[in-house]
Amino acid sequence: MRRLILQTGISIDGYVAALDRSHPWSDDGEANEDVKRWILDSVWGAGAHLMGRVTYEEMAAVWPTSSSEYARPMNEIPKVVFSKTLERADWPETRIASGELAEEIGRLKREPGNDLIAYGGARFDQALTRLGLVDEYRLMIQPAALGAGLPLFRDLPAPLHLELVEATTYPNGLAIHVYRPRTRRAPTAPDPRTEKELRP
Amino acid sequence: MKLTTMTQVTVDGVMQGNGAASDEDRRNGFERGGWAMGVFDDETLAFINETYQRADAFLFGRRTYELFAGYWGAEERARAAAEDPDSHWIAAALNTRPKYLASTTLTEPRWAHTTHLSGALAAAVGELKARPGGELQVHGSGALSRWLLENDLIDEITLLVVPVVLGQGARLFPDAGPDIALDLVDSRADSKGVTIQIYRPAGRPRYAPATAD
Repeated sequence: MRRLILQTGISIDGYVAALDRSHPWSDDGEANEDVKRWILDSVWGAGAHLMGRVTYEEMAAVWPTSSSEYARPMNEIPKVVFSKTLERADWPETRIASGELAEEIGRLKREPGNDLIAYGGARFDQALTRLGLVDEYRLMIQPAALGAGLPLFRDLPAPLHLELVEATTYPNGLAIHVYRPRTRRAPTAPDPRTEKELRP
Repeated sequence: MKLTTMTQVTVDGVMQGNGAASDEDRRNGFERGGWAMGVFDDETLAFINETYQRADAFLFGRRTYELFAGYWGAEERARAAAEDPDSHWIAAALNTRPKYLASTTLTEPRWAHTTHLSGALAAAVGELKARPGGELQVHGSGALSRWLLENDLIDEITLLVVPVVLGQGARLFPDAGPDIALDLVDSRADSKGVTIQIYRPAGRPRYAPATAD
């Protein structure tokens, strides 16, 4: 089964954007070739791009006519927009998923192909985590606190334990952390010395 | 002195209850404590020890002060640290270096070498920061840390990011707090999946309008 990857920029205080959806970082790793390459590799690896309606409308207004390096993977790879209200999606290679989120994602995961990558927005991201649908988080942790905004995580029924699989930092202050949910809790017996040293 | 903070946080930025949920936490509905127990590898533990060891003074909020006084200030721990400080770095530092307490309710602290900061806190902290050299460290102390962030008094922020999304609890950064640009000055990941990031505040961030990402 293919996996669902959630890829997003996030402030160090946990927001994917300010309340007005703006954010003080560039989406394309501007001024850093390594970041750019990381994003391009990631995006080209997608079997499908997943997004909510507002994010879809923003992207559909930009990528079809963009000359950016990111435009080709965004235009050529199939897209799925999750919306119960959207009636048509004119960006080529797009289909509308209007059913229940968990069922739609389950169906997509069972289709053959490369992994699915979800890009937001915030409410879409929150729902994916809440329903336990995300297999990997690719967090681009920006060197900024927003103070307020749209949180990546909200209303979790239980703690979500993660495994760190990659951590890289870049000269522009960006930290890319890749986490995967643990299928079960880590061994619960802590090293006794650790407990002693770190209490309380 | 430069004012530095060292905080254990979750991936969603929660700092409450890293060691355990206290009775006070539970009374306020927080039940997911203990998320930082046993999660650090030896290198991270050494880093934490070294951080305490280089402190010139500590600044505490009331809750962390009481927790630390009861644990690190306990008689047997203080005595062990006095006899063999090299084996008990944290206890030795906390029991011998000056401690400053920012609290409106606990005004007569009893842990040795503690000074209660009375009057205007910003002025008192400013006076400590104006002293030459050294490092004034804040560990834990959520409400105090949020206040220090809001008042732009922090020179360096060390985050120990534990690989869990807690989904509940008080966060390090205040809700409706200031927006802050940061310089990342150091970072590493430990062998158990904890990451350490050290940031210095660098003014206000500059915003681009919302764009497709």
